Amino acid sequence: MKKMLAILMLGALLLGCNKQPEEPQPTPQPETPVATLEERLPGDWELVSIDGVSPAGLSVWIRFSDKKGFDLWQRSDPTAQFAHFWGTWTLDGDAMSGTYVDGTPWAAAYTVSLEDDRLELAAGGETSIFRRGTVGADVTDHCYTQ
Amino acid sequence: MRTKYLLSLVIPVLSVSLACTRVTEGPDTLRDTPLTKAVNTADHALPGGLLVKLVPGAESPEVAADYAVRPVFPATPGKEDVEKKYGLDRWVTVAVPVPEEMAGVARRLQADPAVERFQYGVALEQPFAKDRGPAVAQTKAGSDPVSFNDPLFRNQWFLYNNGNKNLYGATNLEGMDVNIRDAWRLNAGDPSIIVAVVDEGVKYTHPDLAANMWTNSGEIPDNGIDDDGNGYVDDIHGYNFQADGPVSWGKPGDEGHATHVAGLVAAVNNNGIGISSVAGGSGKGDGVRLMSCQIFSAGKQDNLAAYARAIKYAADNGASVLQCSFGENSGRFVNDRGWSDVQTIEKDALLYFRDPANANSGVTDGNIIIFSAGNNHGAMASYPGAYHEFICVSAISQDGLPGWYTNYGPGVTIASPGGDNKIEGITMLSTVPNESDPDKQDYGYMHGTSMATPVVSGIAALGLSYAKQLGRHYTREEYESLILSSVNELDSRLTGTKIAGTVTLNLADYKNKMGTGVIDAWKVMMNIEGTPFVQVPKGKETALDLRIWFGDDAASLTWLGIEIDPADREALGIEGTPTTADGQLKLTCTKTGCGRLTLRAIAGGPTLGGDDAAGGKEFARTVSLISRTNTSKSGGWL
Repeated sequence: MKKMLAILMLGALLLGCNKQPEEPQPTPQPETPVATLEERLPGDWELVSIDGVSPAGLSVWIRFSDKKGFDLWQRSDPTAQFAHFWGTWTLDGDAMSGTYVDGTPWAAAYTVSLEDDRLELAAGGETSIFRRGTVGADVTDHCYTQ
Repeated sequence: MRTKYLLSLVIPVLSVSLACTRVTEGPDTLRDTPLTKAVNTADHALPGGLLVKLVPGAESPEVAADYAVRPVFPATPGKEDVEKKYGLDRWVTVAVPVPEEMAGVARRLQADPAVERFQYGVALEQPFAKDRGPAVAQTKAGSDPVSFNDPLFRNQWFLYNNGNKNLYGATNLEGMDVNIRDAWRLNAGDPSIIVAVVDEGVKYTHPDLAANMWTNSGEIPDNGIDDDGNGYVDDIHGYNFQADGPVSWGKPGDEGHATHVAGLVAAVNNNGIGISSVAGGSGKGDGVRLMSCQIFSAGKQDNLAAYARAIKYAADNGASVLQCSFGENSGRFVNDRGWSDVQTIEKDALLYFRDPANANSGVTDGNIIIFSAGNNHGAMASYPGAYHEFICVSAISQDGLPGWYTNYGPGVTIASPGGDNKIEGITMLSTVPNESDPDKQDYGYMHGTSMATPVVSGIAALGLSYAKQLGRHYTREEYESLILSSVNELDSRLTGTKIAGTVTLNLADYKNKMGTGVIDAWKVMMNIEGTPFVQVPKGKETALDLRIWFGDDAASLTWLGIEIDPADREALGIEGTPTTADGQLKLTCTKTGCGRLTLRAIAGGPTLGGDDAAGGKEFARTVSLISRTNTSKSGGWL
């Protein structure tokens, strides 16, 4: 009996010796999911350049909504009113396509690349660069519908 | 003050009467001298006197010793430079009350080194049809979807033509209107935009006009004093330059013409009575304003100096559109030189009105002049409208065809509804003074280029109102070009014949001779909103439809050229020379980029007007293009 007790105590001692000094462990956090392209896309985007060129006088704003709608304001003359288009968009992987409200498809399906506040739409060898911003009331309140 | 003014007229007349005993035929040595300084002949001269333009620096002609001489134009403080620019400060009248003395005075003027030129007075013609239709009683509004609550709107097919053949006649063409209801959604007028109605006197008390009359805030009504010192006594809503007194209407000989014209421009909209108008506002006091510059009075226009004074008055008192439904008979002058050599004072005053120094709207850097083409059924426009720098209006009716009476051909720059009294249906309904109306009513029908012209003037004023709202600015030439290119197609209908009563029109005679097309108010507004966003595919020859910028009859235009700044050519990578033909602009852009080019064309016919022949007016539009790989059929960026 004594022998048995001694074995148990030795076992307990060994177990105790095997335990390493405790180090502070990070509190388990719920894993942060990486936002998908589809989730990051909504917002207002202003055209910065096309094929590396910043055409003088050209102004294009696009607003992608999280409900798969878009609004587009554009003008080619700084003294002109903005023309307003709208419609819907879809994303398949990084391929984005869309349709204007009159049923006309976009000119192309664009390959989308989005890093921070920089959006790149590429198709047919043409690349348009947009930066995130906010469409001003001077644009939205004084446009005409195309 | 009025008494004093009248006395100042009487005293010279007395002095002339006394002088008559001494001056008869002038010095014998001058009897056979050719009158090379006379710009016209005495053949159709009106009695009363001569107009004389002095050489720069001269103070008065030698005949001032014997005849009453006074400046034609009152000097306007702050306008000295522009008055000098056109020589308005050098025009004087020489009163010659005894007709037999006119020849002698002319010879003395010829010999006088202080005299540059002189001219006999001649009368102008009002080119409107006097056989106007009966006035109509006010009726309840129909079921038509009117924008405003003016009950007679349904009778104004030229504003909105819903195809009602019962009312407008069997040959009516639905949609043959100026598309005003859409334009009103954007703007219906601005009280700071003033249209000067150079015509008879406008009945400024008319219930459908009174609220839109321009009011001279510097003048106290009916006190007989020139309170604002502008040279005219009690000029509250304008002035009667013919009779040198207050604006009048309803006298024997008056036709109610000006009141009708004024109603087409800016009768008060949405006031529950009468008619609607092009730029009469929305019922909130926001219509453009009407200034009555009366040059016809009681059936008379025998005072060219008065006419010229009326034009200067309009410029000096805020008008930005000069509405002129009158002119010479078609064919009296056949080129610009002929007109401007004879009607020198008229031309000087008109150019003064247009000068940037007199710009009144805050939108254009010069005021806009719009003339009627005339009603002689002639194959060229009347002068002054035919002068190559003015907008000149021909008339169509609700069948989409020329009115039987309209002048057409060289000098005409744009068409507009003017009605036709020889086809079934109604003509142009507007306000009239009941004093001169056979049925003593406030509204009546007239037809003519006189009625077509105020529709264009109203649309020009409406466009200025909208441009002001949007903060736009144009050169005068740009704005005139914008008006002339805001048109609907007309030429394709000009085949076969039109029967108008006893008159048969061979419509091919009118093809490409009615101007750039039929004015469209909505297109004016759209052109003011901005240049179209046009994308061209990079690297491919592209044919762009020029109707986008020049209106529906672009295929009929004669092109004068294309201008491209070298920087724009480089930005777009334009190779070769773009061409214009058959209403298309053909070009190839090889680079991604944005640039502009300017296209010039002739409004009205194949040749430009000028000194040697009447013709069209040059107009130009600047086109913005974006060259890129991906272009959507919708026109959107994506």
